[in-house]
Amino acid sequence: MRSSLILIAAFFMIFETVACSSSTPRRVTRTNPTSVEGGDLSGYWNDIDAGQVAQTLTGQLVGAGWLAEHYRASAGDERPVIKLMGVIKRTDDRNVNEQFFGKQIERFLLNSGRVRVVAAAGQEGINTRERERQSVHASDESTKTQQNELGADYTLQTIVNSQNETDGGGRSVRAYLVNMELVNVETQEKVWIGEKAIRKVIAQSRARW
Amino acid sequence: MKPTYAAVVILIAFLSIGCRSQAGFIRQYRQDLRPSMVRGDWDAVARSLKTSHGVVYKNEDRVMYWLNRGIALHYARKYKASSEVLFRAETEMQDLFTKSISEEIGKFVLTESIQTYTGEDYERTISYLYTTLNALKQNRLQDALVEARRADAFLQKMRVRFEGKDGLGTLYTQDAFILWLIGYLLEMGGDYTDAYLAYVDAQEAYKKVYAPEFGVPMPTYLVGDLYRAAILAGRHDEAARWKKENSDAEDSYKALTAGYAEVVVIQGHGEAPFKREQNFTTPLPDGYLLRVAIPQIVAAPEIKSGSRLLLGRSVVDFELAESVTAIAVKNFQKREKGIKARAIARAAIKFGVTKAVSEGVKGDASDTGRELLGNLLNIGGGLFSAAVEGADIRSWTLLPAEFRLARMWVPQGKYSLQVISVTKSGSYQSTLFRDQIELERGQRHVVSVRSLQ
Repeated sequence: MRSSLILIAAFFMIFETVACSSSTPRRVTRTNPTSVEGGDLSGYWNDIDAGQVAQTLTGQLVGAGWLAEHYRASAGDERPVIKLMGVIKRTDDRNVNEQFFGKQIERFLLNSGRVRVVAAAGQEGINTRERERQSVHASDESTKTQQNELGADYTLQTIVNSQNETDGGGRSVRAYLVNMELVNVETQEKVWIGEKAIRKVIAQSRARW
Repeated sequence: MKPTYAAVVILIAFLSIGCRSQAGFIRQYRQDLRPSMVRGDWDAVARSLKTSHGVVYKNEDRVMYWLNRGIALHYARKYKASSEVLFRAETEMQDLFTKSISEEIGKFVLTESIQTYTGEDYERTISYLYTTLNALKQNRLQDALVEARRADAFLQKMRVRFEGKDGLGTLYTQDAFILWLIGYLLEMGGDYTDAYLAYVDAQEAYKKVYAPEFGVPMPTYLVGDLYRAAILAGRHDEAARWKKENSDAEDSYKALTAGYAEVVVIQGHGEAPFKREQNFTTPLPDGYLLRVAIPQIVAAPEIKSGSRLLLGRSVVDFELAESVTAIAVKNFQKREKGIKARAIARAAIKFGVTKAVSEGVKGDASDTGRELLGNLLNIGGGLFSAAVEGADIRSWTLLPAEFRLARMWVPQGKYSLQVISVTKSGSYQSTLFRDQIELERGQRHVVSVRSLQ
């Protein structure tokens, strides 16, 4: 008799737990910014992709033949000046943060010490406005002059493409192709094209407990 | 009655109350929001919704909550916040592709509404309309394009899922209106070939699915889009074919090349159909209370008024682009038999389990105490199953009944823009929207408007 009651109570309690449970505990672990711990959570573009692609492509860029050609043509040791033209998203992935990715590219290029980087497209206005302000408000000795900007020798455009395939259910493939194009500002000649591909197979199970 | 028997009865009663469906509260809450919606006070709707999380919308209704809040914030012109909550809805819908076995069991033996609401395909597709418009309204064309491509990827997934299955379980296999939107955004982004292909898909979806199944013919403006995109993509043979289909097809291309700006007004009109519960409760001779609950879909009263766009001195009537009502009602009808069969099977399982437990407790009926407990369990089990039985009547309740579109090419300049409601005969009824806009040469200006009546 007693065991029947326990069984019945247990039966209803299981259903109550199933029906009414909702809380999910959260745990946070601080990691090194370059760590890949946690890995891919959703299959979409993430900080690991941005870091790896930026490092690979900028490594290709500063190691390619165009640099030697630039030194030869300029007959000196003037490092080439590059202007970043931003990241174009040709993808369905809203995780691609062009600011985050663009900054990684900028950092790797600057830290390579082999090229010079001028304010990226969209950022030049800040300093132009500051010089205008200084011309009115700053002392004559400290005012920075206009028309003294460093002209870019090259522009660098980054394009993120993606292509997906799905079985219509839980399996899909996400492929990213990131291209960088370096264009000589004076001649409009494309002097270097870099490419880095990423492919991810995503399997989402149909059932869980 | 021994204390242990009483404890079982109290436990059953407590659990029955604890598990009661929230659907009725949600329906009532929708009615409470309606006056603000009619007034066009979407700020008030969004504010109210913010406080409803956990109160009206429980954890299993979270997709509904995010969708409803997203649409309210969109029409309150809080585009960034709207996208943030719609992204959450999308993430939840993606995650909920993985079915919870415990919820599935609960759905089969306890009640339909025990399962977390995953959203319908059309609801997910339409959520991309709002995320796209949100990005456009924030002047973020790149992000609007990402949203359009995301919609495209989801429609591709649907295409693969339903290929060769003859639309198994659904009539809604593609969304013609969203395909048009994808084409339009891709064209704005300069991807002319992809834009053209999206317009072609939209045209096919209107002809093959929307016209025959949902009574929505292909809008007349689409031929102009097809012609223009074909020319821009260098597909001159195909452009000639579209021109042959409609002699006005080249008008929009001429306007574009003349540097005209285009105004596109997307009007969400009316109220989407809602679901209500129909239930049958009957006591059986042995005291067991049998209850079967099934959902019914109810369309809001038919929309008889039309809409007209006035831009300066130019006038154009809106065209129907998407009928949410037709999609929701016809799709539900297609699935109705399965839902009914599941409800009956669930009632039979609950009855069978209760009967087996109560008979097991009674034993050979030589002990009057056990017999009494068995009878109590039979009644209590019936009460419990009746209390938890509920139809799943959840849906994206704040969606409009339909989307209408009006488009106009005009020279650059300042314009007074008005959307008015007109009777079937074309007489003025009321002004729905009014704005002053300034258009630049070649600009594409998209306006999102909501009206209820």
